[in-house]
Amino acid sequence: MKHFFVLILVACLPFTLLAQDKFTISGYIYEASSGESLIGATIAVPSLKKGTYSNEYGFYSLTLPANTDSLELVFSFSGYERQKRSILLNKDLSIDINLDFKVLEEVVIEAEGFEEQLSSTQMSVERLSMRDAKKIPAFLGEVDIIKTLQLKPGVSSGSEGSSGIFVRGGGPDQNLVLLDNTVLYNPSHLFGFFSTFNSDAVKDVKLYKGGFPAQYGGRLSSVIDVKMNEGNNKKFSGSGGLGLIASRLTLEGPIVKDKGSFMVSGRRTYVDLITRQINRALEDEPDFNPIPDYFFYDLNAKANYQLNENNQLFLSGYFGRDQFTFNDGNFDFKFFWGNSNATLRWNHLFSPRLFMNIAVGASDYRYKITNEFDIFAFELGSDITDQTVSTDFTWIPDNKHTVKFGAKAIYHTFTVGRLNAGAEDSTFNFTAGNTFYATEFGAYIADDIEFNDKLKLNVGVRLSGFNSDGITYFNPEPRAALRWTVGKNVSLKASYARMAQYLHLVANSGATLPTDVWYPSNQNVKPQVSDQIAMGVTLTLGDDYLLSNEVYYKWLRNSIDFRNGADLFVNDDLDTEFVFGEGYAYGNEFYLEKKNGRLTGWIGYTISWSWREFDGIDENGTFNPDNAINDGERFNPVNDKRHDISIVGIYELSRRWSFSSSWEYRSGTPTTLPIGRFPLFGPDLEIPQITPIFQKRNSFRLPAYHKLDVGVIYKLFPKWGEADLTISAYNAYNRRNPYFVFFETQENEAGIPIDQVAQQVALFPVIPSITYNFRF
Amino acid sequence: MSRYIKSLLFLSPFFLFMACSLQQEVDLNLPEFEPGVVVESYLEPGLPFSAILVESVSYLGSSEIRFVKNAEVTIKYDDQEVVLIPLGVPVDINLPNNDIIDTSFLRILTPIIGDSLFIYASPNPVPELYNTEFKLEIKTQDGQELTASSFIPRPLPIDTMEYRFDDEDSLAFVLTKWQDPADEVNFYRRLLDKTIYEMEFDENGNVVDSTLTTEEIQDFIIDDDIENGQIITVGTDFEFEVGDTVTATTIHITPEYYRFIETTDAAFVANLSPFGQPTLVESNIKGGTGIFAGLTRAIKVLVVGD
Repeated sequence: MKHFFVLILVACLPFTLLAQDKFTISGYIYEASSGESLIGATIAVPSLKKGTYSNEYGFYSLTLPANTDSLELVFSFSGYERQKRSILLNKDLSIDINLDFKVLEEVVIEAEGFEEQLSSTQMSVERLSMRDAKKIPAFLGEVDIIKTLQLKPGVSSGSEGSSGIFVRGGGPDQNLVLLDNTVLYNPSHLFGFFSTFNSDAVKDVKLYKGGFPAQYGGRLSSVIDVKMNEGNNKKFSGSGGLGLIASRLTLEGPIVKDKGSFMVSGRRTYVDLITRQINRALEDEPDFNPIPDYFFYDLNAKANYQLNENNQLFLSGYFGRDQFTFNDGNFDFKFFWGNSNATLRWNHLFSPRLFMNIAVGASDYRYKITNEFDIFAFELGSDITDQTVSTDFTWIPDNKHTVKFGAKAIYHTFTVGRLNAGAEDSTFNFTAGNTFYATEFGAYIADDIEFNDKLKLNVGVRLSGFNSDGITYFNPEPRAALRWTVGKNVSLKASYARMAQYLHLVANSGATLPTDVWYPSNQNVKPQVSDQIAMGVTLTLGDDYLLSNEVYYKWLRNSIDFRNGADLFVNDDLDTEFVFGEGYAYGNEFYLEKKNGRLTGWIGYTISWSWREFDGIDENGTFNPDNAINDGERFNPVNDKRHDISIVGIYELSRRWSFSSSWEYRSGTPTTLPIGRFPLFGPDLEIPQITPIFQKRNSFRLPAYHKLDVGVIYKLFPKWGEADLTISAYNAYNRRNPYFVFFETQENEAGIPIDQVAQQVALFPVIPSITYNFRF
Repeated sequence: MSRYIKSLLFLSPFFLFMACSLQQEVDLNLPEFEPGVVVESYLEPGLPFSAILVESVSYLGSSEIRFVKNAEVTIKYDDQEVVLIPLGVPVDINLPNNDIIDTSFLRILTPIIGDSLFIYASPNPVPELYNTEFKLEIKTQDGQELTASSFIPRPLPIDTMEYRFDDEDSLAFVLTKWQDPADEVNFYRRLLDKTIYEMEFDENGNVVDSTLTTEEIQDFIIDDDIENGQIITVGTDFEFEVGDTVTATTIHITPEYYRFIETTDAAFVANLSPFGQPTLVESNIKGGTGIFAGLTRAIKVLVVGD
């Protein structure tokens, strides 16, 4: 590792020498009213046709040749008033900018460009504006950033209402979900119907589908990088909402004005408060069975303090739990699950051209089921705990290069299927389960090189590794991205990225379940590796429209699935249930976005294929039929969605009224249905049980999925701040989207089977909702 | 405000209507299914050798059970060979040497499917041989050959059964315990039935009617993976009243039968639940599907409140 950093420093020397006759303008971009840093704001020098963007901490650095004439700098960010500054570049300059949010009597019509999409080498990235996300109709009124991302091309959901996502043919465990630099292992509540992200606490969301920057690693198919709000450092303020199933409250304010701030945000569902009242009211009814208690909550908190102009500290944390309990006097059942994480970060500016971020953090996901019954007690749980340290440097020697380098190490502790059962009288007592330890590490360097106005190349490499169970794996992960500008409004892009994944989710169902456990690579379970190439074109049509088209091809090696009839529950030998194979996915994504004017929104269309192949042949060429799926023939996994269309529209009618709608269409999900059956009598010759005969996995497709959501927002302007009423209808035309299909046995009066029929089950009809939101 | 509330009440039947009928019948075109022979043959000491042969069918095909008749079914062990005789039910075959097949084991099934049952059986009872390999050989009329082998696990008695009442003394749960042999892997199928005897009286206190009903409370499989060599304790929920008769059955089964039950149960559940694993049935019948397995059972009865 030491040699690696020496190599980086030596590699950087030539840039330093080149940069001596140049000066650097650097600083932070903030939102004027709150002091929140703005990520991705544009800093441009039109006369020189140069520019850059603020990074994830709001910091920017632009190195230009010395100039005795006045230069005009333009600072802009979507939805904010642009600012211009004239400077004389005869020394390094530090300029912090506060941008004002546009508050106009009429709806914002002014155009903001698509500079970043056109000029950046980064492709295959989706950026979510929280302001737009809050305008899109949401399930039960709960704004959900993951479900909004599912409306982007190349991204789809697992099943109806699920907040699990599949990206470019990847699996649900192949998404790296980061909240302020720390991993969230299960970003969902209520079996996947809601994500863990409280929209009031989130500042910025980026989803990388390919062309992964070298600082990211550890998952094959996507990176979802979520940044929390930092808090208002100007004045105390709050926001919140009252919805049908949950309420939210966020408070923020300065610790020391203009120096530091805090933000605390909470959300809790309250269906359990209603069900408890029902249980109390009906507890004397003889045949009444109490309704189990269920609720979830999230707590987000963040604080930051600027020690001086070169040093800033951030402390952020998340804690969320789902809790399901049932108690009927004799039987005390509790089931809880959730994530917690905390990160301490230090931003340090060595010079206007060298920015450093160091972070230490911890992350934990766990579930636990406890059951007490008379003198007996049962406890089952699994968890994964991470301790992480990372450092990231951004070095901008001149306006031709942006070099990023850094390293990360994670110490993982896995507890898999820990079972304790016993009786107070010691008549029985047993335990099961495993604990594993692993160290994951990675170091990277990448340079964003601007050869000229037309050609820009980002090239880098990440060296990742994983140590567990007495074995260490290494994977060099080259990354490259190229942008070639054709004219003013068109750029062509291409990228290649290799990713390695050392943790695997033990989940044998298409649904997201809290009992799914993470399992490390070891002697028997090799890391999964993907290679992805992508090519695309991005063009702007006038000032308002962006059109992009990307094609991609992804190879997956050491892809993991489970053998037939795998026993995944309290199994101390989970390794023996895995099978290994290959996979590949390819597709074409079209995206048209309108960003400005009364009507905004996008249309996305993806045509794609995803395949898996488990031939049962091991490294020595030996065939084992138990390790083959579908007799070794390739098949489509559940994330294979041939056609995926999404249309999202937001119409701002006036200051008070805005309307929105989203329509989704997806080809049917591959599924496995039995094609034959036989009666099973058993040794006691009982009424025969119909036993299904399954053959090929995923050989059927459910009917296509489509639905329309509509919403209307009515803004109120109370004296104390802002408020709105958001009314929406999920599945507005009441489509019966297939959740699953099963065969039902129809019997005669004597209980003898007389017929078999296929039944399709839908999950949600039209669901109206209303939410009251406020801000002060 | 009341006007709005009335409007909402007016709309509520609409939403209720929308919430209904989330399940609907659909037409599916299943691919061609090639039928195969499915065998069930259990070796239980003291009971006759027997086997049931059926043909698997397309899932949406006829509900009629297709028994495979005119097959040659033989079970061999040591130097013995037992030929199983095809029997329709009710049994109407005159056996040679005036032998009698004890058909009492058909007790549950026959009232339900009546004449449609067709089995193969022998007058010979299964011997108590616990270290012996039994081999099943089947030749069907169309020339298919199926084979399998198995053994009979040793009987393991239930050591104790006990009940415990809840704090209000209204309902009890029942514990069943047995000793698992150490140094070997064992598999069990656990059954528990509740029998209730109910009487109806007239105004003079005379019994005018009585019924005896048996309800299956538990039927599941377990192995001794985490309790090897210990006393295995299995409990129930609080669901027994004074006077209930509880019958616990522990069937000591072979690994192949355990896996067969596990995979058939998983396949059954997968058809009904989106969270299930669509599982291929694991069989020990070569040339077909099904199970050939030895088993021994231990039964203990407890009357709650005695």
